[in-house]
Amino acid sequence: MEDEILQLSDVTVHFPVKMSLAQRLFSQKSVVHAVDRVSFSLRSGEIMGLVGESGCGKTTVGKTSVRLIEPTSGRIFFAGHDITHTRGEQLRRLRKKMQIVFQDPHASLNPAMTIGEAILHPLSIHRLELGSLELGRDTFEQWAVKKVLSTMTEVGLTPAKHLYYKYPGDLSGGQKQRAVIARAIITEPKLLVVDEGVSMLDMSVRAKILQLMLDLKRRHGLTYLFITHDLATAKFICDRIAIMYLGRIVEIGLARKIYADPKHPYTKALLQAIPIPDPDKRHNKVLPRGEVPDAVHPPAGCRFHPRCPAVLATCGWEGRDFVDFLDEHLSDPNRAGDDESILGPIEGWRADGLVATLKANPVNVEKVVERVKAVLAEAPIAMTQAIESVSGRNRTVTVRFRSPDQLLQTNVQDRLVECLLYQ
Amino acid sequence: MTEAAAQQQTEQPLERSSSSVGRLLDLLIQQRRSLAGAMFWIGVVVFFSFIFIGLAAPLIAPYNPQSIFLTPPSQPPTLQHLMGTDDLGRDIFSRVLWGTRSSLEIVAIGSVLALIVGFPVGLFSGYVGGWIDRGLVLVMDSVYAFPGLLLAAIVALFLGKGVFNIGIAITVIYVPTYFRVTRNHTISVREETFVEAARALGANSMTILWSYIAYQVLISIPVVFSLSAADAILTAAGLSFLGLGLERPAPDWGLDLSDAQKFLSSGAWWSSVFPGVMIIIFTVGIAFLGEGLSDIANPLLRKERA
Repeated sequence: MEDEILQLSDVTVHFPVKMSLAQRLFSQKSVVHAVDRVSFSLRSGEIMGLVGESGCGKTTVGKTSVRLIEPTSGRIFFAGHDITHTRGEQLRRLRKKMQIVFQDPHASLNPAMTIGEAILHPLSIHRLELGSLELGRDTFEQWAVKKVLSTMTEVGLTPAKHLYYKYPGDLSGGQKQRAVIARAIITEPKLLVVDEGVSMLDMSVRAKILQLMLDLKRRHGLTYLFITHDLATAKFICDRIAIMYLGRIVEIGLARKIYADPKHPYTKALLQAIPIPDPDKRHNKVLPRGEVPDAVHPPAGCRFHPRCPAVLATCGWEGRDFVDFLDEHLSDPNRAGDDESILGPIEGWRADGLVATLKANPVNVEKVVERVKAVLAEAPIAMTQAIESVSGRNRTVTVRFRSPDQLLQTNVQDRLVECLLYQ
Repeated sequence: MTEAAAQQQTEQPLERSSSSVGRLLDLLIQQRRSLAGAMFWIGVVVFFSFIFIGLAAPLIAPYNPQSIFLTPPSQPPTLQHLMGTDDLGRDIFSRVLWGTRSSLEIVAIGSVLALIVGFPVGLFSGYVGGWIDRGLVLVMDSVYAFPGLLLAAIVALFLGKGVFNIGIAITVIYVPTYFRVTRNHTISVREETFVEAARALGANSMTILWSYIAYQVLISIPVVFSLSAADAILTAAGLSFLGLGLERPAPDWGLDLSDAQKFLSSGAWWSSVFPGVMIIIFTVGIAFLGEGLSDIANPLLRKERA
C-alpha cells in the first residue's frame, strides 16, 4: 500500500544466551525468544502504541523497525521498500528518514558535545545528501546552525542561542528530552520511534512533551511508533495500539475500541490493573497469576496461558505445567498429605514437550499412576482436562498431554486478537 | 528590529558553560586541602619544577657537567661545589641538573609514543571486539606479563644506547598499559545509549569512534600517563644503572649512581646520594600527581555516568 510507512511482516528476533564454554559443549544452543512472528503496519500520519510489560519485547520491536537490531527472520518494509537487508551506505542514508528517541534522555546525549553540536551532528553526518558540496562549507555551516537554532526554538528549547553552548549535564530532564527530539527531527524523518520517550519524566513535563510530539506530528507529518508500558499515556496519544506479551502481539486495533472493550484476557487484565483514583470504586480484579515466564523457554501455544484467568484445556498445556502443578500441590501441607512420599521428590520428574515422566520403582509404578490420577481428579482446572493419559510402563510413569489447538489471529470487532476464546 | 540586527543576535553565542575538563579543574582547585588534592598539587609543583630545571639546565648549572676540575677528585660538598665532585672531579650539582634533562627526554619519548600506539589500538580493539580483540589482548597481555625492566633491557640491548633508543624500550613496556585502559573503557562506553543513538542517526563507525567514544575514553588517560611516567623514570634510571642506558660521559642519574656506588665504601656518600634523591623526588612527585588526579577524577567520572 502506498501510504504505509512501516510494515513488519513475521518479524522474529532471537538473542543467543551467553553460555560458558562447558555449557556450549554439553547443551544445545538456547536463545531468548525476544520477538516471535510479529506483524503490523503503520499508516502515514498515524500514532501506533506498542504496549506491554517490561521484557515483552516491545523495545526490541522498536529497534528492529529502525534496523538497530537485525531480525532473525521476517521482513521489514519502509515506505514500500524492503529494508530487511539494506546495509552500508544505503542504510546510512535511510536513517535520515527514520529516527528513534530512547527512554533516557541523559544517556542518549554525548556528555562531551554541547546541545547545539549534538543537534547539528545529524546534519553534518548527512551533509552530502543535504548538499554541502553545492553550497560550500561555510554556507552549509551557516545554514546548519540556523536550522539547529530554529529547530531548538520549535521544540521549546529557548532561548536557543543561550542553550546552544550548554552541555547535557547543565539541562533538566525535560530540556534534554526536547534536545533529543530536536536531534531526531532535524533531518525531517518520516517515522519516529519513541521508545518509552516520556517514562523517565515528571508528570507535569510528560504532558508537555506529549503535547510537543502531537504538535510536531501535525506540522511535519510524522508517523510515530510509540512504545510504552504506561496505558494512560498510550490512551492519550495513540490512534491504534498493539498489546504485546512475551514477544507476541496478542491484540491490535483502534485504541478507543480496545480501551472501551478489551477482548484478549491479557489486555483485560492490563486495563484492570490501572488504578482508579476513587476509593469507593473497588471492583473485583482478575489479575494474572504468577510471573512473566522465562523468554528462553516460552510456554507452548498461547504464551499467556499459564497465567490466564480464562484459560481453556486446549491453550497449550504441556509436561512442565504438570510438574509446576505438582510442585505447588506438594508444597501445600493441607492437600499434599502423604503424596510427597509417593509422587516426590519433585526433582525426579522430567518434562519434555507434551509429556512429563518419573522414573519409579517398578513395584510402585501402579501406585504412582493411581495417586496422580487421584490428585488430578481433585483439581478440576483447565490443565487437568488437557491431559490425555496417565500411564505406567516398566519403570516409568508418563503423563501425556493432548496437542494444543492451533492459535490464529482472529478478527473480532475491528481488531485482531490472538486467543482461542474467539476462534 | 531589522533583519540584520536579528541576524547579528543569532550569531552571537552567549555564555559557554563548563565542559567536563573545566569541571575537573574546578574540582581540583576546590579540593586542594583534601589529601588527594594536596597530593595532586604537590605533584604538579614537583613536575613543573623538574621541567623548568630540565629546560633551564644550561642557565642554572654553575659548570659544564663534563668539565673536570683539577682539584683532587671526590671533594665533599662545599660552597664552590654545592654537591661536591665525583671521582673524576666533575661538579655533581651541575651533573644532577643536566641529568634531569635526559630523564625528561626519555620519559617524554617513552610515554608519548606509548600513548600514540596504545590509545588508538585500544580504541580499535575495544570497538570491533571479536577475535581481533581477543588476539590483541593476548599479545598485549603477554608483553604485560614480562617484568618491565627485563623487557626494556632486552629491547635496549638490541637497539643500543642513546636517549631515543631508551625511549623506545620504555614505549614497549607501557603500550600494554595504555592499551588495556583504553580498551576496557572503550568497551564500557561502546554500550552507552548515546553511541546507539549515534548509530541510529546514521553515523559511521569512524565518526562514532572519534566523535563519541574517543573523547570519553581520553578522560582516563592523564591518570595512566602520570602513573606510567613515574614508573618510566625508575626504569630509565635502572637501564642506565645496568649500563644499557646512556653512554658515558653523558650526565644521567642512573649512570652517575652506578659509577658512584663503588666509592660509597670509601665514604664518598655525596656522589651517590644526590642523583638518588633526584630520582626519588621526581618519581614520587609524578606518582603523587597521578594518584591525586585519579582519586579526584574517578568520582567525577562516576558521577557523570549516573
